[in-house]
Amino acid sequence: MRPRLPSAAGWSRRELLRWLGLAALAGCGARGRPGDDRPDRTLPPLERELAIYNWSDYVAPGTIPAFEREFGVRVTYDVFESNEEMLAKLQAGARGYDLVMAGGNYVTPLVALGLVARPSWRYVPNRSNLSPLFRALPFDPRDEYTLPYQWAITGIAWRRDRLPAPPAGWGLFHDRSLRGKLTQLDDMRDAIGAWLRYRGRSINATDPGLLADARTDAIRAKANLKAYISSPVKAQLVTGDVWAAQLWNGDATQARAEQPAIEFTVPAEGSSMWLDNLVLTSRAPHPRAAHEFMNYVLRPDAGAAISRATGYGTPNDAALALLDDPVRYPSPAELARLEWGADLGRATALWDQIWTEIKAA
Amino acid sequence: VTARVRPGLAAFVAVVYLLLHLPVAVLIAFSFNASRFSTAWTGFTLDWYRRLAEREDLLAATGRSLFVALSATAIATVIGTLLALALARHRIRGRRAVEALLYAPVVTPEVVAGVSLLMLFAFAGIPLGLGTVVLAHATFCLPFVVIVVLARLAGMDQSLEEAAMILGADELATFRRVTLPQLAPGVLAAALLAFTLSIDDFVITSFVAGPGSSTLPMLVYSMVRRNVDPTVNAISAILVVVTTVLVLAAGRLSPASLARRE
Repeated sequence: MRPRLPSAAGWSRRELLRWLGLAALAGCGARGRPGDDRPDRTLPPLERELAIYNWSDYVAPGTIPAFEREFGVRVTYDVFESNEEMLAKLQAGARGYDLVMAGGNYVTPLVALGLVARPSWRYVPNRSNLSPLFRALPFDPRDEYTLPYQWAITGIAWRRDRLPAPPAGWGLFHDRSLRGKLTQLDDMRDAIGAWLRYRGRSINATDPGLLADARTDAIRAKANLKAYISSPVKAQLVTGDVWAAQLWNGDATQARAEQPAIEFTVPAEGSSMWLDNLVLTSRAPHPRAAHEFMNYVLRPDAGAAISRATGYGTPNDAALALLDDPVRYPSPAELARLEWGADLGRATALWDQIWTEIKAA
Repeated sequence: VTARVRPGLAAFVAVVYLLLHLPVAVLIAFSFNASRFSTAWTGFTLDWYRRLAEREDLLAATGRSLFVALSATAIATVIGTLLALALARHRIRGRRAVEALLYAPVVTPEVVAGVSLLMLFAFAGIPLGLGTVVLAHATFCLPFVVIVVLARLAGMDQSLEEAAMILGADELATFRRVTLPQLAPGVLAAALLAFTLSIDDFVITSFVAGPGSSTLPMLVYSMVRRNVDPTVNAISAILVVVTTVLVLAAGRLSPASLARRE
């Protein structure tokens, strides 16, 4: 095993990645200027290969093999472990990927850096299966760049048999009688976003005063938290070590499969919704295969299989109809309380600082 | 010379070893746990190992990791051994500086090494892929090889080589028939060390990997971020066992332990 060495001035790898990303944005020239990305262009004939850059296990086990068989295309599937890593890698000039999975918050920088191209949508007719809920979102208002893939809501997963009453809202995390039985997501945007909503503010706030309030509320809640922990908290919800957790609804659904007493609630003050998107890289070496794949995952059966495997919501109306126990679209009442995350731009540094202060408090 | 170990010291050592190895023991134990969520023990199963065999992505990544580790080990061992020989056997101007430069990468944080390699490849226009991963791994393994081989060389009797030369062997014959056989355990130990360093590297690899070059540690990292599934425990358990065996083998072949046996 490689000896653990002192990290550079205490920087984590992820912080460094984010910093690199910011640095590149600041000094951004025309980096990966896309070639021809006119949305009505004609594509070359189908290539024999396709390179996908994605989270691990973010397709169904059969997705890739079935696509390979049907189209005669050999797929390479590479993985990253954070959106920051994905962005830093592309921006450092990694060539060769055709399709990349991008969280909504990362679409704006990808477009600004010229790292993604507009697909030629006439090759993706199955786009008509997409629910209008996931069209024209703030990070891609004209649906030029992104293909909605999977979505989730950030809310509270809780044990019906342990909590005295259903959680009314984010204030639950200030309840001292629940000390040690609560967790929040180990994710800057979600953990701070909750406390912005708590006071009726936007999860995309950049004003230092609003963020200072959120920091105060977050630190007050932190005294009651067992930990900041993301997906792995499912295990502790199932065993009952944690009674209520800030969590994504896809994970809550997975946990409920093992422990039926787990419920999921969208807090009264509101919360965030996020969407992962397939994007086409500029200079994708296999554009036609990439378009065919985008069209393929939007087939009803392929889309349903992906959601069955990941546990997250499908934005695909036709796929949703095929699922037995789907992650339902938010109700209109819930939708009114939900907000899409946006790129923070320059304020990312301030958010980073506040998040560090909260974690160090 | 053996001294009686004081009971207090023995207890202290026991605690240290417990803290060192308990997490790994727990990880391995839960790879046999029937529950999908790994904190509660619900019964013994080999399912996760069986599922591992069905996961083509894991098998492919394991294959890539082995390919990278073997290639990087071969490159680093050959170059590193030659470098160590040059440093030990020849008067080189600036030898101190060369040695200092060799140790620098050993103490450089991996993050920094990863970023600099990535920038170098981007600057030189080398497309990221398995090739860049092998190059990066060979680079960070190299100093470790040199250090291990140098240690072996320091313990070797040079008079045998001199005798061979006096008896008419040319440099190549001396190297092949006298130096190398004596050096072999050191070279092998260095190679094993390089292999274990390479097979589980994540940080540097994650920077320099490109299309078609996700290694096993990268896949495990990504899997853990999304979902902790006991297949991760299973693959980690296998990795721990393989690296442990290799480290033990390297230990047995290290110059120090050989010297003890002689």
